[in-house]
Amino acid sequence: MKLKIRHTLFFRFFWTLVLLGVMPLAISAFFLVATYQSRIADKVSSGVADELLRNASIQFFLIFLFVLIIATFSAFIVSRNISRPLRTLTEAARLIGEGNLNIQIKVSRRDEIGNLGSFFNEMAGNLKEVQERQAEISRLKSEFITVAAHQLRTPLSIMKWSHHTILDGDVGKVPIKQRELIEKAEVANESMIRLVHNLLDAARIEEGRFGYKFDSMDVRAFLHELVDEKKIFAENKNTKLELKDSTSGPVEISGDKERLAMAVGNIIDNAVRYTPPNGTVSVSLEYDDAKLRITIHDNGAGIPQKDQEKLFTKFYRAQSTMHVETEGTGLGLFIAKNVVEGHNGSIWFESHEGQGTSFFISLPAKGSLQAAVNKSYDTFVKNI
Amino acid sequence: MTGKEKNSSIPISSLLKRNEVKVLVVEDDKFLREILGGKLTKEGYTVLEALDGDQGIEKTKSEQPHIILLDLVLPGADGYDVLGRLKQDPEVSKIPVIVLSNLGSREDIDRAIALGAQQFMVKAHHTPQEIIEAVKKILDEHYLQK
Repeated sequence: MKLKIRHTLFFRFFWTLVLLGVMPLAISAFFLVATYQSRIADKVSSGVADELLRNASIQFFLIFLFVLIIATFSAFIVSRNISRPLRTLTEAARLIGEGNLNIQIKVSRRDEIGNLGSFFNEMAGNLKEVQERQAEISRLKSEFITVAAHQLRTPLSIMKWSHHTILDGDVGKVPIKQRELIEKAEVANESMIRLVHNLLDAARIEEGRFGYKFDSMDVRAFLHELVDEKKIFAENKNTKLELKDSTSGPVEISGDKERLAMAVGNIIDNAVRYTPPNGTVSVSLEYDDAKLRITIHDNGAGIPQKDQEKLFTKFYRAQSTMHVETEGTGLGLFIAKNVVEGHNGSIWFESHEGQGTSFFISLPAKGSLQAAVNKSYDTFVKNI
Repeated sequence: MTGKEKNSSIPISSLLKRNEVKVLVVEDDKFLREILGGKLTKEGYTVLEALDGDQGIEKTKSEQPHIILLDLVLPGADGYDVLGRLKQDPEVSKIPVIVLSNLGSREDIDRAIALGAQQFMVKAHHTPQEIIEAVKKILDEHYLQK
């Protein structure tokens, strides 16, 4: 942030010093003039009086110049002495704000600023320790989830394969009642598999290992394909799923197709899942002025006000959905948000209870995608 | 002349009738091996089984299967090792491999594909029937459309 000159410490010191210098000057001038008027003016000739006045003016002008020079010089010295360490501390504070806690300020002063510097170092050290501890906890947690999830997948696949082997009739004819039960068991098993899958993705997002592979892709074809794919799921739930496409040709962007399918798919799934039977979920695609927007609108129950701000957090499920549906994993929107943001896009929603919800995803069009910025966390070392 | 070249001239459908298409299943879990083996046998394939990586390599060399279903987490040499060693060996390097595992992160998939696997299937995400379909498809692509 650039400071205006009249807001700087230098300017303030300068004016203070000028005032201090000019005040005695003005007082002395006042007394001189008063003395001259009352005692001298009528006793000397006008030529001598003029000369005296001129001498006095020159004298005062020179003193004033001298005050200005001294004030500038002293203001510069004093303000630099204070503002230089302050600038260093400001820079360090800015880095801490950005998340870089490798700060080392070498404190050689013993005054108030030196004190501030020591406390600053202490604070940065403490913050760094907390940050490291949290990173370690997060890493352990993610590692645990990864191992646990892989261990869970084996029994889940055994169940899945067994159910399907029975349902395929490979081990004899299955009576209808038994078939129904096994189908139900398989639905539950599938939701466990989905949960494990989402858990793994969420863990990878947190570990920062959720890499993206950006390729040129046509969002229009992508969305048509995705909506067609989801139609079967919607039909099973007696929900109408429609696509409103206002584009006229291919819409090329740079994106990770698989991840985007997961993100947009999760939102469509949610919309279908939480819309009562005979509802409508509409997906629309708009593209103009290099801006791309996908909207997923449903006329379901809406999201209660109190649930709205936590919607994108992990494992968060709106209260109202708990007793309607048990299928959601509470991770879909967390993953969707991360994927959209990984594409430099944004995701938000509008919801009105009883009327429905609209989710908006906006993505940068081809060419406007910025490469992810790699922050370098070099240690900041400076003297104050 | 290697076994594969000999086979590649014969249509898969006629081989199937004679139970001559050999599928090697490298899987340490007995139950999964049995389910998959049973399904493949029912479809008319000859199923060979290997319980760990070293056995998998040994059987590939001795039996020259037409396709390999390979798990990644195995006792001894893991699936990546097996895949790498098979693809290095000119005698067996052309045999298509489907990796069938419960790992499934992007790194795992990329690594297996880079090592030369034809396809990566996460066990929990596919039914045995879908795996059979994949086997059929890859056999067709690999041996018929040449």
